[in-house]
Amino acid sequence: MKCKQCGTPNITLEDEFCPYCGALNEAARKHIEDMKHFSGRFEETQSQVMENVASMSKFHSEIIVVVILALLNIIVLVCNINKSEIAWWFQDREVKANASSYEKLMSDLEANNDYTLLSKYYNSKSLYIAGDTLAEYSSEADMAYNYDKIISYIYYLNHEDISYYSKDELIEEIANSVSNFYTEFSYKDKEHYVERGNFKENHLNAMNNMDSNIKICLQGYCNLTSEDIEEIDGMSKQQLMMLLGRRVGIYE
Amino acid sequence: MNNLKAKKSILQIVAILLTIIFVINLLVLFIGIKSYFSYDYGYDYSEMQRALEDKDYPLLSDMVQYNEVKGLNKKEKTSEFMDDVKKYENDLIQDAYKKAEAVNEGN
Repeated sequence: MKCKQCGTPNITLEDEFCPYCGALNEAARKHIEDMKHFSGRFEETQSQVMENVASMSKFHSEIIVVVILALLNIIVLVCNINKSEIAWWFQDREVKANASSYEKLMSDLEANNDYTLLSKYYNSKSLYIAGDTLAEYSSEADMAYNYDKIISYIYYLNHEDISYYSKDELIEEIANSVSNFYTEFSYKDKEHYVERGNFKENHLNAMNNMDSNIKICLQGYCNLTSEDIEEIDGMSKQQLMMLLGRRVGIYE
Repeated sequence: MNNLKAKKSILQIVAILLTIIFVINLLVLFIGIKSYFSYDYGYDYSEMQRALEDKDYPLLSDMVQYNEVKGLNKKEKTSEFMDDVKKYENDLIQDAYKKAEAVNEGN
C-alpha cells in the first residue's frame, strides 16, 4: 500500500501513520479502529468468561466443602452412638500395651495372697483381653471376688452394730457367695474345661488357700462342724442357707 | 448469575450450620468418651478415715482397693490404710482358726 502524502509504497494496514513522512494512513484508519474495538470486546468477554469460570469453581468447591462437612457429621454421629465401644477400644489398647506389667502385678498379688485386690484389678481393668497369660487368672479372679464377699459378710455377721444388712440377709449373701465360689472351684480339676482345667501350680495354690480360709471362717464364725465343711462343696444355695441359718441360730 | 449467587449464599448458610453441628457433636463425643475413664474420682481421705474410725473394715478395704485400682492411691494417701486392711483380713482368719480349734477341743 502507498502513502497518499509521499508515495512510499511500504506501509501496511497496521501502520496508523506513514513511517517516512508521518502522515495519517487513511486506508488503515478504519481497520485500526475496528481492531481497537474488537480487541476491547475480546478482553471484556475474556474477563467475563474468566469471572464466570472462577465463580463456578468457587461454587463447586463450596459444594465439596458442604459434602465433606456432612460426611464428617455423619462419622461423628456414628462415633457418638458407639462411644462405649470406642472407650472399650481405648481400654483394650491400654491393657494390651501394658500386658507385661499387669502380668507382673497379678503374679505379685498372687504371691502376697492379696486375692481380693487381684480380683478388683482383673475385673475393673478387663485384663482377660490381654491374652492367654492373663486369661489364666480368670477363674482365680472370679473365686477371689466371692472370697472377698464371704470375708466381708462374715465380718459384718460378727459386727452387727456397723452392718447395713440384717442377719438373714447376711446369711443369704454368704450362702450365695459360698455356692458361687465352689461352683467355680469345682472346675479346677476338670480337664475337659479347656480354659479352666490344667491350672498352673501357683493358681491352684491360691485357689486352695482361699478354699481353706473360707472353710475355717465358716467353722470359726458360723459354727459349721467338720462334717458340714466336708459337704458344703456340693450344696445348693438353698441348702447352704438352711445350714448356715441353723448353725448361727436363725432357723430351728 | 443471580441464581448462582442465591445458591452460593444458601450453601454458605448450610456450611456454617454443618460446622456448628460438627463442633457440638465432636464436643459431645469427646466428653462422652472422657466420662468413661474419669466418671469416678474414688474415695477421699476423710471417707476412708471415717470407715477406719467406725471399724468398718470391709468398706475401708473396698475404698482402698478401689483407689489403688483407679491409680488414686497417691493422691488420696490410700497407702496409709493399706496395713489396716491387710491386718483386718489376717486377724479375721487367725481368729477363725483359734475359734475353730477351741470348738474342736471342746468336742
